[in-house]
Amino acid sequence: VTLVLRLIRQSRWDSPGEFDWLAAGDIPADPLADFANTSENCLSIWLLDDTKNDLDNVVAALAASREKADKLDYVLFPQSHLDAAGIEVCVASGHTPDEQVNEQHRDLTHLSAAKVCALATSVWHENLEIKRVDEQTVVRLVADAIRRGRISLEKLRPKLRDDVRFHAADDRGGQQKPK
Amino acid sequence: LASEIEGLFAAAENENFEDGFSSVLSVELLRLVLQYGDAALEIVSDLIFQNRAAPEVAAEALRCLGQVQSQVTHEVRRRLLERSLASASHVTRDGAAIGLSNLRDPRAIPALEAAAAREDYRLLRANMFEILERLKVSPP
Repeated sequence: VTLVLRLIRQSRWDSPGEFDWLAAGDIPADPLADFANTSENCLSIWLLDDTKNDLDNVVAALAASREKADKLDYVLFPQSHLDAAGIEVCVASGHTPDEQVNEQHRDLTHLSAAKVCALATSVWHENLEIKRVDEQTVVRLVADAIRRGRISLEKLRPKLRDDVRFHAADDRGGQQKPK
Repeated sequence: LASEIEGLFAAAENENFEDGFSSVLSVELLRLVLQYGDAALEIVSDLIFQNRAAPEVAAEALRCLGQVQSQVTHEVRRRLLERSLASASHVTRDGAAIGLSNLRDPRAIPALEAAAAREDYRLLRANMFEILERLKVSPP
């Protein structure tokens, strides 16, 4: 089974329980926003194998593409949801500082409103994980990826580079980030 | 100052906040808090607690307040974040929890424990417990 990772905003997927105002099979509108923010009718996703062994690498690569250290929210779901919604998946290299992870990137193309709704509905009803990686863990994962040579520190944007350097110094019991 | 911050919050309603990237709101709020300290925080507090800030905007502001590098305003920011854990909006409560996570102050533990105990949004409650675990092993 191949898994799909899509970045989301976790609060859109949260709920206190069942929605008694929803019709059977329907979903709340908020999660749709994480699949409806298409560009030229395309969406960006990342493929993982079902062992999730490469999850930390993908999270680190995505975090390393950003301007600064921040929490990272994602949903994981089986690729079969894409097939069921009739969605075309195109190989398109990603743009993270990790070349290996870039190979795991795909574009969902020719997306119609109906296909986006179908996918969001499937993922709402059946997903493997809706997860938040906190900022400190994100920095640690990026620092680990740099240590293992997957990501070059020089490729990070300045603010994130500083965060990673502070983390490394903190690990050595040295420099503390000023308050 | 009040009109500047109110204008900032109003404009932010049209902003698309993205994790990992600075927003206009966060950059400007950071500047104002560093420049005006508690006076700026008092205005932000009024906007949030008088429900004059959209939940997404309040959440972004609270996240930003947890990242401000200013010892002078630390206590006021912590109290504002703790109080925001009781917001009617789960989006705002989420922003407050993230802010406290970034603030890394173990003195927020009692407020977070109380918030987690009453939180009925499942993912948010789980996040609060994770933040608590981290704060409990943080140095004082």
